[in-house]
Amino acid sequence: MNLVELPNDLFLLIVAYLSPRDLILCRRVSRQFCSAFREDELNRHALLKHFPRARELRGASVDGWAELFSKVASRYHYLRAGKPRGIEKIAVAKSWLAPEWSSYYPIGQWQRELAFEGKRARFHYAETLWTYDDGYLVYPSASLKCYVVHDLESGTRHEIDIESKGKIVRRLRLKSQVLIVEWSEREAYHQLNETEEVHRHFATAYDIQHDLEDGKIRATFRYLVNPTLISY
Amino acid sequence: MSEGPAQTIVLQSNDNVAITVERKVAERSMLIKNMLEDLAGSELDSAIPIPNVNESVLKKVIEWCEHHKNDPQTAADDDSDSRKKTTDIEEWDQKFMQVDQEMLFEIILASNYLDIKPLLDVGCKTVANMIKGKSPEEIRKTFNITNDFTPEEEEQIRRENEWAEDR
Repeated sequence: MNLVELPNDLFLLIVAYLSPRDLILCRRVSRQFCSAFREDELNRHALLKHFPRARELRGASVDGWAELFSKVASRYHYLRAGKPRGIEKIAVAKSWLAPEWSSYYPIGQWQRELAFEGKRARFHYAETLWTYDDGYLVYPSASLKCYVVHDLESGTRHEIDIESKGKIVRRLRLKSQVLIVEWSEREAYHQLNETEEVHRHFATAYDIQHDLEDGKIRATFRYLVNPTLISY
Repeated sequence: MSEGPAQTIVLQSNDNVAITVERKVAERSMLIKNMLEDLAGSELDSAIPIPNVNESVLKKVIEWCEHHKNDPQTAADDDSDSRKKTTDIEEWDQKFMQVDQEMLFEIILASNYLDIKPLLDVGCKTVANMIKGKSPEEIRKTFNITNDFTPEEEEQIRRENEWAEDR
């Protein structure tokens, strides 16, 4: 008798003790092992047991549990090992301010402070130029000279229009497919005194949506927050 | 329950060998325990047939039950995770399981049929330990399996799961 010739319920009891790596390596033993270890029920069990929080399990239906298990197991392996699956270098614009298409204006980013037990201190880490959430990376691309959404899953880049011309973009934040763009007008709203001027600041929210028909990702306008006056 | 003198019962293997065992030992098997409870009161004068298990396997299973007859009984539906998490096996059981593979699989099948959960667990863990952390080549050696993939096919599967190879 052979391991994979055991009644299925007993076979499942045994493989429940195996790690994801063992389960994957067993597929390479022989044809008989391969089909036994690619069986739907086994892979569904293994996925629920080892990676219960995998985002793929949130979807309604899955076809191909064997493929899904190896995909998720591989992803978790690299996450756990702290090793990248692949390295891609992305040319991000030097700042939001310098390139013409994102408007030039000689001001820095927000100054951020940390507060702890009644004390305050400058937060020394500069705001990143990019923002990432749930597989999407949004950044000003130096090569395309525009803002793009990079879908890390498929590796595709999509130009998005956040109406950056004529604005000073001060911060980008992406969460739950909502992109918040904090920006101010290029021209001063009024002059405070000889050295200081006041700019109107806005925040615009966009929905980052994946258009299933043409496969493109678009930013559609959602909401604009009232202006705030900030002087420099 | 009244605790009489050590009762014995007779089990009959599928190759018609009668084996006398202490009742307490036989009751490690939930199948036999439940059956004896159903028959409570009536006199048990004939051997209990165990149609799926032959003499050598049945003796081996009884040897295990003998050693573990004083273990606390686990609840019938104990599916708690603690049981599932580790493949550690106590020393006596490890030695007990040093048998050829045919016997090992027979013990698993018999303990499943006789409903002896702790023995089934030990059997499954033993088999799992023969696979854990091994390369496909080592697994083939352990289970005496011929690699019937073409080199191209094997390479294809290997490449699809590159991560599992690096350790």
